[in-house]
Amino acid sequence: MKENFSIIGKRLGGLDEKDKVLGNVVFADDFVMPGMLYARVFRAEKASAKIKCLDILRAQSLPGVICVLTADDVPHNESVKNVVGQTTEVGLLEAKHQVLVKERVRYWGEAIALVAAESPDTACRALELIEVEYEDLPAVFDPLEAMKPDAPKIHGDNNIIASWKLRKGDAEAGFAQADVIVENTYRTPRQEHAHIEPESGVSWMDDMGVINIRYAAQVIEHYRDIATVLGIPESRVRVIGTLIGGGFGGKEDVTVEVFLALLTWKTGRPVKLTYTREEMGYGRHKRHPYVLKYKTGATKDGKLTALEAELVSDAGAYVYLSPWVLVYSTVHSTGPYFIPNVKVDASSVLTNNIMSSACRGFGGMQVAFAYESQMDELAEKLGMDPLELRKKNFLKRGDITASYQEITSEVLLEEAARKAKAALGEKGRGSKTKKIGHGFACSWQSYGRMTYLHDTSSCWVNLEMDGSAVVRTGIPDLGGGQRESVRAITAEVLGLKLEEVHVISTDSQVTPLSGTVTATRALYMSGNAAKLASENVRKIIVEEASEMLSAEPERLNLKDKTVYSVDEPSKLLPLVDVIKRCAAEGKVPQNLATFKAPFTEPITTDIIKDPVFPDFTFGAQAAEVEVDLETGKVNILKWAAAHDVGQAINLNRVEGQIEGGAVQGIGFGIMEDYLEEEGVPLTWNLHDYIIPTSKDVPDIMSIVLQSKSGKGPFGAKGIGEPSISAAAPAIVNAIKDAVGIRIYHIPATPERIFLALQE
Amino acid sequence: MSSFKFYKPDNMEDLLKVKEELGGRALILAGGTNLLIYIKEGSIREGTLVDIKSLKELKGISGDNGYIEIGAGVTIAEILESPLLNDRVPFFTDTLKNFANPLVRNMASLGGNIADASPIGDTIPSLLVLNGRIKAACLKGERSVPLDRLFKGPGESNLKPDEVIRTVQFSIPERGKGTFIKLGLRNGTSCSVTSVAVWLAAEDGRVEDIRIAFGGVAPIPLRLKKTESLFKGEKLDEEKIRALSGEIDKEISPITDVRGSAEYRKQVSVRLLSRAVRICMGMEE
Ligand SMILES: Cc1cc2nc3c(=O)[nH]c(=O)nc-3n(C[C@H](O)[C@H](O)[C@H](O)COP(=O)(O)OP(=O)(O)OC[C@H]3O[C@@H](n4cnc5c(N)ncnc54)[C@H](O)[C@@H]3O)c2cc1C
Repeated sequence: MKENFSIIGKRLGGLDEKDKVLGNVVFADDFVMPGMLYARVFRAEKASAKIKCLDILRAQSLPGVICVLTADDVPHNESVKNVVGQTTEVGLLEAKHQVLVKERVRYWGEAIALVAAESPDTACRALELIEVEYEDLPAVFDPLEAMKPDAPKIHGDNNIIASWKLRKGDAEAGFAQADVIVENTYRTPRQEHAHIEPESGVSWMDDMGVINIRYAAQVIEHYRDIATVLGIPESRVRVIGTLIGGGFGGKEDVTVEVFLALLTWKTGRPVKLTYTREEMGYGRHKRHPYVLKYKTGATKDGKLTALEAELVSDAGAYVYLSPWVLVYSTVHSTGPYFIPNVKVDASSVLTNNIMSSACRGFGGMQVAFAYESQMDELAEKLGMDPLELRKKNFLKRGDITASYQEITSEVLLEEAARKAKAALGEKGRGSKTKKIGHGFACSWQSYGRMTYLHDTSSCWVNLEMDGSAVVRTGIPDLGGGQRESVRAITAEVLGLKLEEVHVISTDSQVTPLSGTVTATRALYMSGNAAKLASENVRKIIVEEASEMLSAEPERLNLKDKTVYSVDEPSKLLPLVDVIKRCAAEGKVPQNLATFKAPFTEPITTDIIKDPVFPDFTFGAQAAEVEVDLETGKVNILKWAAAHDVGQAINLNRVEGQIEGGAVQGIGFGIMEDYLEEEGVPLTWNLHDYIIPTSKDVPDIMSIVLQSKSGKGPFGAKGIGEPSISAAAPAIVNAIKDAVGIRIYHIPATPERIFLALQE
Repeated sequence: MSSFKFYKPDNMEDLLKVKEELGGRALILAGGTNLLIYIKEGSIREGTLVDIKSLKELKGISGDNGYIEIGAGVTIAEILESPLLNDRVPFFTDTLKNFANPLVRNMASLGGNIADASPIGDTIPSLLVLNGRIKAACLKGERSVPLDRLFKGPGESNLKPDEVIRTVQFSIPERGKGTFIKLGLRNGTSCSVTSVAVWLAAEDGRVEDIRIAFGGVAPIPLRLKKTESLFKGEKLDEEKIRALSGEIDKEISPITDVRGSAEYRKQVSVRLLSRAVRICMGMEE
């Protein structure tokens, strides 16, 4: 490919931003069908209890109620999945899930019954007529308590549902070589995704007997889970993904789709289900709270010698993605540093809290708070500049990580940190009661799914007779412009304008499956697939044109709907003429391509000793904060974020991801925490669960580095999740600089800072 | 399930008539920024919504000779934009810059903020230090109630079921300076953890008159008269201010909730009062 891009890396307009601003997009909840029913979910108001009696008769007989479903109506209510590698200590994991509570409620908010009625009001009234008699069961809410042998068991006979380890060198010997050792315990909050759009969808049965579900999905492949629950062939379920109003992992696990499918399957009628904001709070998973014990040693000239860490995550009441989130935490726990001796033990533990699962950062974020706090504290003890210390230890291309993975792309951490710090400029002066501080943090985050999952992504590209192109890709658009990237890549390869490429996306029976919009894999996987398919189409055209022009195919290029010789630009053909001739000869300019991520063997032990990820994105963020000595309140005055994205596809979208990641990371750092008391949720609306507003964040200065060394299309790396992790430690390091105290338990709320200041 | 009727009176008299007839079941709907939430949450499930938004009798801001009268239906945004109030009581309008967000400020009324009787109603501490009063109207007539005798507990006031707040009034003291500080957990759309208003008149660093009111430290918005009396006549320096502010401990009784613990509220309130006094004394911005 030519290096002078005409589209890639520019500031491109979006496909749908205007329609979003004007309210023209038909989001999941905007969709209606004739004869549609309205569904609601009846949820438990106990954190741990046995259902002694469930009475739905009064609800059922309410006029306008069409059906009330309980666990007995679900053909396959329970599912079990085993997690590879969990054979030694945890035992073969039976990752139990239930669609609706059969006998035992394990968290406050768990779904017990489904109601479908002719109107939303009737559905709502029916909920009030359902009666449950509970018998309280023992419960446990603290993950450390839950690890003890005599703790009440949530499922089976072990609350530890995953455990992973890193073992490299000899940690003890490493600490013996250390001149300074820093040892701390950190705690992180249960962050809510707080996406603007609730979980929502509409289902119907079509005239071929296929159950269709049009909903806000990060994973359209859930049609398979639906088929499993209903016990019908996968080919009888079709998922149509909508444009999504944010997900952050909140729409990665199953949301409304199984409930919708069940109701349509039972009633034969279209059904709509949209969660309320409160239900998004108590009915949906959150980010895992972690307790992280870190011990880090370094020599007096600043070389890290050893890391020992214990990580415990609160999985809540069901397994969901906890084991995989824990793999991420374990692998990323060292930070982007070369450490010769490493011993990490990580566990994920069931409790009767709301379940935890995927959330932007996927386990990479909690550890970043710990490892970057440790680095600053080490620097302080060593009397060394924090960036100098980090520079001595940054991973380099070619280094092997503590999980035995070679770093095969550029590591621009030094440049990122230097530029982010410099962007802050001079430190403000502050006042007697308001102190100013600067802080920064570095982070690494994988992109692409775990390689032992053998991830693939398919895409189909076709040139029409008039030279325009159609792309079919299953990738959902989470709001990050995933469809746009596919369009830009295709346009670039085929020498077309953006408007000349149409992308059809996110339909499990119409578009080739491209996989999930999770794990920062969308650009990497579906972008590579689109590039591959477009290049194959390009090849068909170029080969045909080479005959027509009598020129070597390698010396031909496509631009502005012409095919021309790079050596003799006057030697050219309209693209349309080449397409016509292809058609006449039966060489259809279309291609279905599948991109395969690197495949590795499944993990067989709980010690991670093989590569697990395709690659990593590196970056740094820097903060200027003002801390009010009298109230403990932090104001963020300046923010800079520098990330190596390999190659930007659309610069606007890259900055959008960086800004969004920083803001969500700031929320995690200073204000967000989904609170529960004995499993009873306390902050289930956006009045009590607070996230940053436009008045809480300054303009984010985004610094986009482009090493072109990534594994994505044109050397791109992923940026969706990597942009979130450095924020919280950057703030905490800045608070330390401002007022001399370190916060080990985030969010760093005014109260926590105030109390630390009193000590 | 809930069921509601809706009524939009054309004038004050019709409003008072429906109040007379239905009492507490006539739910006054001003901006609705509290009421509609109560309905959505299900804590109010029936009644007649009485929409007062377009009643001219409840609008208007007037004042002369240091006496100000604000209609109960005036919105927070209107207060913020009022040249009269910005000129005469800038500390009161400043107070409201951190009230909710622009969308809510455009809807929310002053009367609704007071009638709601929340311990953290943000207009109230400032009105308390201005010795504000409300005029409560019913079909039989009108009475004037001082704000510091209006509140009974969270969400509870001494308004009678047939009464509506018509106006809010206060006189601007001839001497002195006021300030209001709100501590929220974030800068936009934030509930107060605690808030403090102080009006202070001093001569050569000696306090002639001081009025102190808090939000969020008791079941109702509170004037701290005991602490006020301790300040009066004192010559203030930073040390003295800190010591006297510590005396509020005996008058406040905050609770623990998701926004903060009782202990934090106690301690931070002391600091906020010190700061407010320093600001009024011109010792700090
Ligand atoms: C997102 C959000 C943020 C908020 N932030 C803040 C904040 O920062 N600070 C703050 O103080 N409040 C805040 N509030 C609460 C609310 O906006 C205010 O209390 C507002 O002033 C209420 O006024 P209203 O006109 O909307 O009242 P309504 O909701 O219409 O009425 C509130 C109550 O008062 C009664 N009432 C209204 N007018 C009268 C009258 N004239 N006579 C007798 N009774 C009457 C009603 O019947 C009802 O019981 C917030 C609310 C929301 C939704």
